[in-house]
Amino acid sequence: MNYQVIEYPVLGEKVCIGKAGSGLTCIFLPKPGFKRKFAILATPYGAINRRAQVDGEEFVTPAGIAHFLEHKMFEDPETSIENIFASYGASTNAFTTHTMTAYLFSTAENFYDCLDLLLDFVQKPAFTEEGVIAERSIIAQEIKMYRDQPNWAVYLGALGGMYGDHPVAEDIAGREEDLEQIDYQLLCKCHELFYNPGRMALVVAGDIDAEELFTFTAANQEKKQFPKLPEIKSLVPQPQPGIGSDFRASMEVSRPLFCLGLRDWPGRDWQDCRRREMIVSLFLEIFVGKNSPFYNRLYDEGLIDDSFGVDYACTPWYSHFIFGGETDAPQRLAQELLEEIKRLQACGISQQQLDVNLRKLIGLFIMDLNGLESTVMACAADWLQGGDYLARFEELRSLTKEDVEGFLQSLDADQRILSVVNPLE
Amino acid sequence: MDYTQQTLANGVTLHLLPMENYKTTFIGAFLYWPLGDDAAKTAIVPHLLQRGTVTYPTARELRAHLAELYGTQFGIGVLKRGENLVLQVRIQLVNDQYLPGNTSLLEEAMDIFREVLLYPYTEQGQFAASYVQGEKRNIQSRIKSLLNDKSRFAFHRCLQHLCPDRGYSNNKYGSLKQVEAVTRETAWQQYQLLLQNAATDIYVCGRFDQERIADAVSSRLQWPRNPGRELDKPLPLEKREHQVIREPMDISQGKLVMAVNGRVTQNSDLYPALILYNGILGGFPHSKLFQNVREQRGLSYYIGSSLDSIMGLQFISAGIDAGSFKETTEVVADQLEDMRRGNISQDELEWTRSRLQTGLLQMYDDLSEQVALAIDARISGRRWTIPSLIEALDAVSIGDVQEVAKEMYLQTTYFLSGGGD
Repeated sequence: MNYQVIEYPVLGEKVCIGKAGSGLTCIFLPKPGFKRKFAILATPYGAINRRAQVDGEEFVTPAGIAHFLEHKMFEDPETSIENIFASYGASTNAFTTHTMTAYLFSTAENFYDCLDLLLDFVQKPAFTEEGVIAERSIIAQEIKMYRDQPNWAVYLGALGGMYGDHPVAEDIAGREEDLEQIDYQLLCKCHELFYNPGRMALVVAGDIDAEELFTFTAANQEKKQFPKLPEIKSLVPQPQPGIGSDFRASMEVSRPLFCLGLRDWPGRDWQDCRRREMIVSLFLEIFVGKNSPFYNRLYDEGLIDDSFGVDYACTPWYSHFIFGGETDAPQRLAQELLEEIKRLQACGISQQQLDVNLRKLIGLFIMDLNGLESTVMACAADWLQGGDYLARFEELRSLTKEDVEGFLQSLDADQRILSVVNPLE
Repeated sequence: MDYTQQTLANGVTLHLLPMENYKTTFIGAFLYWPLGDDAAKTAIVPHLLQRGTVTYPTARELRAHLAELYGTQFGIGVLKRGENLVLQVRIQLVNDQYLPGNTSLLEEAMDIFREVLLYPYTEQGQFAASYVQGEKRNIQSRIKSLLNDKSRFAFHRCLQHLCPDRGYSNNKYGSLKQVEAVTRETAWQQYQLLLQNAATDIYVCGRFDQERIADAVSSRLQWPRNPGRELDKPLPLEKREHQVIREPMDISQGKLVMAVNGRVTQNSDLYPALILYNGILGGFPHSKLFQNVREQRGLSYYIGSSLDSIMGLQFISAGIDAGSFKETTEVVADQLEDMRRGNISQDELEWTRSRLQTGLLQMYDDLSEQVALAIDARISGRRWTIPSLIEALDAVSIGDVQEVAKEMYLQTTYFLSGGGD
């Protein structure tokens, strides 16, 4: 397999990228000196991809199906995938997000045995009708486990308030009643459509020889036959404009858990989303980072503590902030956050704040590269949406005060929802 | 370059652990103190240190300066290991070579580190009253918030039933009442006591220049100490009759925690057999517990076991339906019995051995795991290095695992659940 090498001299990193005959994209990050070797095989198929147009026809599936399929790929009546990985000394795992499903392994030895197995078990389903039925009760336990977590309840409450019945507000595992509608045939169909190698990426990192890796991967792919890449148009609906009502629940918690959801504009495309994510990371440091006057005032007043945190997600369909944590005064905290946004909109930010926090983010970007797994996952996620994770570094360095202020002006502080889980009486 | 250690003039041990594949340098001070009745005033100390220093009196000023140093990460922590508290102050910074211009980032970051550890912000010669008040409130919230995570809550309750009379059952922050009783005076006295008397290590890991770092540390971190107070040897729990405790809570998935007591610890020659024993029983997806409870019977979403190898304890945890309590505990008991009888297949043994050895090799790339290994060595009194453990694992037989299993004794079964049964 031919591959191209891209160098990032400032970061001391490089990336090799090629495409196998099957259409599978292979990305490799050489990591000399590392003992661990890590690989991830990912497809841009997640919990929100419930409707699609396939070769002109509409295809609709129940909530939770991407996650269900992820579970079932590990079933093989002849053997146990996990046990074979174990016999190689490797660990394996998988996860499903709103926009992707990924399978991975981590090892120090027997790398090529592991890679062969990863490519084979994800590309050749072996699950059975009985196995699918048995899986329902295991996933039902998983759903129950999350249901008991107040942090999860308050988070879903915020998503529900922002998006109503849009798939982004559904539990990634679906509901118990959705599981009954997921059967063997439907899972096979989803695998055929959404796991075509032409849509997927293999990302590998470790102290490995590039030539050998690409040759090996090409040979693995040549042995297999795949159906032709179907024409798939994802039909993720645009969420309804406007905002629903606040969410309240009572659970066994020590004090109120709070989430403030704030809707933002969807990105024009994935490239726009990535840029926005970087601008927002800088904006959040200035607004409510640990060195901001605002964060420190709230901390000193006891409105927030170390449990406070912020999430930002941006996709072409939806985009939002979720501020969350424990607090005795959820209403007041929400009010403070929104007022500070309005104040920044009116007063702007200082060049000095921008410079300090930009330096901070540059340092953090370099620090994150210590982690092989997190770097590989970020590369996979970016690649599936047509992006280059390591190239974010240069883009980050070029951010300006105008970028942050431009973003700030586009925010509508009224597009907000408050979700609170209160202690039981 | 390999791991080296040296003793500073005041008796503190400086450990240098080079990791050439890292882009950062980590520096951490670790102070060890027994987990006893003074836990509250001990654990609050690092929380107060992070609030401000002589030069940077507020957390905001301190954090702003760290941000300028290319986001130098600064953190404090309180860890419970065996019956000890480990107080941590740590920083991590990007190596100069990745930054524009010729910087002195290391020295500037070390200046901050020194101030945080040795020159906290004070008012009238003590911690500021407002900082003490604020951190007491935060710690109390943290203690109470244990309730928000049902698995952790169940684990804590299990410990309280397992050994109510031992420091080991205590929250690392102490009780709500003990936290309430902390004052500016007692916190300050405890801080002085710790600095002067606690066994202390300084760890430097990652990418660094050995001479430059040794100089930066020894010129900054010399404070007067009493000759080191060494750590008490870990004391195993007494064996008691098995007790079953059920407590109600309105949750949809019951949380099961089973505490298994044994005599084998990190200090024992059988330690490699202990980790194999735990791996075969419940450490991995191929292990007996996962295979028999989840895969064969669909009783749980998660089930596994973990070790506190300093105390010689094993904990089995699972999330199950309230109605499955009897069946699950019976299946677990069968697996424990199988371990005692040596009903262990060659595959189970070899897969577990291979997983553990690969895991150890991977630790070479993980700074925090290497530091954790070193902390354990300090507390247990026996230093197992990565290569020594890998080698020792090679020699373990099913007979050795069986020998460990015969020592393991189910002492407390704790179940938190809603209705049913």
